[in-house]
Amino acid sequence: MIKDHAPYHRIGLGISPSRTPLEVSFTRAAAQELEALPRQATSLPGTEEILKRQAQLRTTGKTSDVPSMARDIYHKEATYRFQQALEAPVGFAERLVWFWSDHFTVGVKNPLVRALAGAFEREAIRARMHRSFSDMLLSASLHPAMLLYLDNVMSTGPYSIAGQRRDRGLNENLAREILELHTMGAGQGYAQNDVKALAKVLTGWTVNPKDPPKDGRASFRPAMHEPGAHTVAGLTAPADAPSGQAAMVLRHLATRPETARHIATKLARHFISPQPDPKVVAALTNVFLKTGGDLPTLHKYVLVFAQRYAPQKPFVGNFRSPNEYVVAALRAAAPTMVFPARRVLGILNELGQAPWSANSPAGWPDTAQSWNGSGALQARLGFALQMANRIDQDARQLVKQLLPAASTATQLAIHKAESPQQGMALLLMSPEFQRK
Amino acid sequence: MTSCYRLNRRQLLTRGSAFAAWSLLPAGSSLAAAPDPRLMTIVLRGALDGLATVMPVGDPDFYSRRSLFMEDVAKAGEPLALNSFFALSPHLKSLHDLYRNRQALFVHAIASPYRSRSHFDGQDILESGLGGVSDNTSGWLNRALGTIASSNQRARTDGLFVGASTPLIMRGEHAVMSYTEDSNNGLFDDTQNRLLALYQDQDPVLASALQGGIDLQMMAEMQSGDAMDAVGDMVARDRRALQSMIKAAGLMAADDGPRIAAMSLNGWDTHAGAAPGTGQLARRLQTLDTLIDGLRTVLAPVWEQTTIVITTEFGRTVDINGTAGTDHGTGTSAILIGGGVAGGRVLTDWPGLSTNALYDGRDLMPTVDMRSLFKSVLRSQFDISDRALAHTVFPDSAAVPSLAGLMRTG
Repeated sequence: MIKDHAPYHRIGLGISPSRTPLEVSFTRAAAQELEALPRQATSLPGTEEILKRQAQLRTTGKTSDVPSMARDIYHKEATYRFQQALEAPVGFAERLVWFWSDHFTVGVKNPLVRALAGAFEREAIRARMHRSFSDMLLSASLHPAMLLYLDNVMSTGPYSIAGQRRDRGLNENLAREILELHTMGAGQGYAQNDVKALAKVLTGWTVNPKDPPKDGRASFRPAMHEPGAHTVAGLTAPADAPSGQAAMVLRHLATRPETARHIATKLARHFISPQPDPKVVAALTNVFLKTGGDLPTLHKYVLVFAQRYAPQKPFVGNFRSPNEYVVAALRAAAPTMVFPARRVLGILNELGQAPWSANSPAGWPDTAQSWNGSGALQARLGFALQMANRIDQDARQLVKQLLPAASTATQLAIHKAESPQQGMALLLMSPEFQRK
Repeated sequence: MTSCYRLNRRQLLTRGSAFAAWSLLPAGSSLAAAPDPRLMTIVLRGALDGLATVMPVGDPDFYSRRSLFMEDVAKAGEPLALNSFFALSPHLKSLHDLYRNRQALFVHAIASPYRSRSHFDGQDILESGLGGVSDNTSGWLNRALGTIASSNQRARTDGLFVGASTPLIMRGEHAVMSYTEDSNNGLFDDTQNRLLALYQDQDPVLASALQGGIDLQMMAEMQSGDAMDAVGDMVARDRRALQSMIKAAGLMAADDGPRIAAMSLNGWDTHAGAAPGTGQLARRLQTLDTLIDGLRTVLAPVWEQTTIVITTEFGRTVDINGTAGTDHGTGTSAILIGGGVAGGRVLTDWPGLSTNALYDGRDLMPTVDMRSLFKSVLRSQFDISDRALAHTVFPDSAAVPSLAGLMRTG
């Protein structure tokens, strides 16, 4: 029997009456989820296939069809993502996928990136969850979606063959975000010349329709690459291995103490509290360094620490993000989608968190203030009423399953509701359901 | 002015006992049902204040018990007279017009057999048509559809409900269609108020966030002129909900459309600040009246064959509570409108409002069972046998009689 719903909200995706095991502790169920990774295969088109389709549309003069192709794929990928979230027993593994996908944010800024975002998440994130951080960093940084999103496809070494011919130059966007957001963290142990050097290392990695990606990794065009050796954060990548420089430098960055600390802090902030105990951050940093960034081990420690160091009383900022709220409500309703993906996407758009549409490479904010604006709660209430129409259960019983530790006030409000639909909506909007 | 249909002998209805003053129609009545009848049920969810809707202004205890409300009503205008004893809320003008055209009648001091005053269970029993709460999964309207279908091959038995999930009244073995616009029917505002109260009690941060949203929306609505709308102070949400309900009802006018429809209106649980003249209850009554007017218009081609039954799960306390509202009660009023209704009357065995006449010392005593009303409409319009009504449509209700003379044809 589940006595307290809090860990399911904070570390998972909420209790699902049809999927969450009742006789197993949260920790055990979450650990089992981690062991069950990677997930089942899907028939959704991969990056290579998508790029082929796009190239085909362009060569046959149907470029105007690319946006609708992209939207179609986007809907299917979003459906896949929702379905994974619905089927998860407790959703810890899925929260980790979301965390890493957000860490390596790819935002749908144009149709091609929109078409690739879902494939990116499956290929660079989901498929790397049981590997090392270094592997995930490599896959994410050199994935066509990332190269397009952060403009590396255009970045040209000034002294490269292409650079000299066309007077094109470096674009530092990807290099900066790798150092600032993905690895060492803003201002931690690197300077502007490191950013520039990394940008040079990354030149040549691009999307070439005639040279499809292998294993999700984009193609390398030597003609765009800046010749010479480049030194980034203390490591000099030699001139004689132009296409090997990126992997070498990225692996180096992945093992820096600053990177370990940055990742540990983000994990602690996301799963424990906005001001995590420095001891916990130090412990996670240590695990990262000692295991070479082994993700399965790191995830297990996050699971343990998130429980052991859970804040004693709920803090002001622990408000479920739109994604967490909508998915938790869908999980409460049924094991399958009670709405078509289009409808779910509509509500997420209204609430400001459609999949892969963060405003900046920094990803989604973690604070309540961002999600709590006026109008946000009313939008959530509108959705709750729509959901209530589709949940065929008695809210008075469901509250015992979903929120076993609900306050008397919440239970009373549900019992005194003027109609079953209202009761269900009050359940979904209750403070307990809205918080994690 | 028509006289009130009063009975010579008074008998108080207690649970399960027969109400002998109402007569059963003779068996084997050869009344022909209307050729292609339409029926609509509208459930007012939240417990309609029947005494504020059809006001017993002639009752000696009414004004003293309800003085606060009647002062408020006076600000809205004169109550609309029905007969020497009853008057309608001034907000029900379209309904009053139908009454004067003999196409609306009211049944007062009516209730389902349920006595425990919980919305969930009350609506369950109202819609299931049973004598008590159970695990049952079908509603009386669906069973009626099934009965019609099995006894008359040529009858059209397409059922329709408005909303995204099947209401209990329409659940069962007979397949029904849905008109799926997610209309909130007055639900949003009431739910938001309850939510705000819960947040204020438990979570001040969320309370202030929600209040901020409410304030902003009120400003926006005032700016956009929604408040000046011709349908009378109705928020855009409510108006949209009504429009979709009226559209759905219009399907019944089509030759190949549905014949039985179910819909509901929310927002009737007026525990605080009911204000039947100028506030929350006034607005709900206005919404109801707008709906009735819209239905009358859209069903005009088939009005002679249309019957609309408007009911609620139970009534509200006779006295006003400490927050200018009323709490859950028992006896209430029901509304019947349509071209075939023998209208222009208020049917009731009026128990009175003196303290020893009240149920539990607080509620209007019910003197007729809701199922009697439903049975009467079904037998007269759809020719369903008494036997089927007593055993299939309303199981174990042999002791619950139909009412005579509700409809022109029976």
